[in-house]
Amino acid sequence: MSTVTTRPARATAPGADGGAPPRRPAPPRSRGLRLLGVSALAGVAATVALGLFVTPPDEFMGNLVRLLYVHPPMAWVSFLAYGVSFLASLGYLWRRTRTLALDRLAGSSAEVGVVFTALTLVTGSIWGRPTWGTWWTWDPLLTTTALLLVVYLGYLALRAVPATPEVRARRAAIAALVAFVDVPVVYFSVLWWRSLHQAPTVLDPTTHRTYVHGSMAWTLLLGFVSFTLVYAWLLAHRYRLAALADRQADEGLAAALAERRAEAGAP
Amino acid sequence: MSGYIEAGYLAVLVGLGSYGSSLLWRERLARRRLPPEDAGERQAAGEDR
Repeated sequence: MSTVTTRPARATAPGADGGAPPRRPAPPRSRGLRLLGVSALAGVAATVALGLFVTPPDEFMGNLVRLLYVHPPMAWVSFLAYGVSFLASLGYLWRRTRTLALDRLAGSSAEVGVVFTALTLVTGSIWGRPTWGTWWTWDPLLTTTALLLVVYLGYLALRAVPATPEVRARRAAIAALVAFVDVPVVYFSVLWWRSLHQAPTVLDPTTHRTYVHGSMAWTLLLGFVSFTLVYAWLLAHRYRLAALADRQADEGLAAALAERRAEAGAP
Repeated sequence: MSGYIEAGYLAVLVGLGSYGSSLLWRERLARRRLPPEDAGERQAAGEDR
């Protein structure tokens, strides 16, 4: 998916004197980002090791409970990603904080969120087959989650529609605000409607009780933290890729302007 | 353990790994396409890597 290609207006429009757009430096590599990647990798490795080999089987679900350490973290990260996209879009629409960097952040986060939502559905389906006896059912939670994926795929498609950076950023920001409406619907669907899916296990919003304890709770917590780090690493790289694409677009425009000037100056 | 558990973990690891690798590859490709003025910067980045 390569739909995050917005660029600042100043960089796309020629200067006041008709010259080439000002050059923006390419995003530098950073040791912090590499450290983040290593931490995320270590965290995921520890989660997998603990989840598969150390934690005990559940009294009712047996070994299938091991999917608990990857499935809810996928869902949590997708919510987080869409939340970041929502806030960045809100920031873009607010005149005081309007910058195309926020639009780039919104698009990057949404794209990473789509990956995590797809993995939420895949892991949920794999878990559902032995537990419910079916890969898929039109349960409220599953249906609203599938809808979430489709809506954000639409959002990414909208970002790919050619337009000026400002127009694209504005309509994408509005679309992101609308798309986010489905996030609380997904979360509360198990409480609002009769659902095959179990209610929140980590922290029940109605009773404020947790149903996971001991090594299972710690492993689950590690899963949440590790996959959040993975999200941060993916987001940073997706953002950098978008910045590089903007930079390339600037260069392409500058080259086209130079060529046109050379043609005009030629005898 | 049933094959479902392994399949679930594999889906996550392969999915995230593929997406992360594609981002790194595309970022590297994008850096290569930058004009020669940035050669010093890219060389530094290559040394860093």
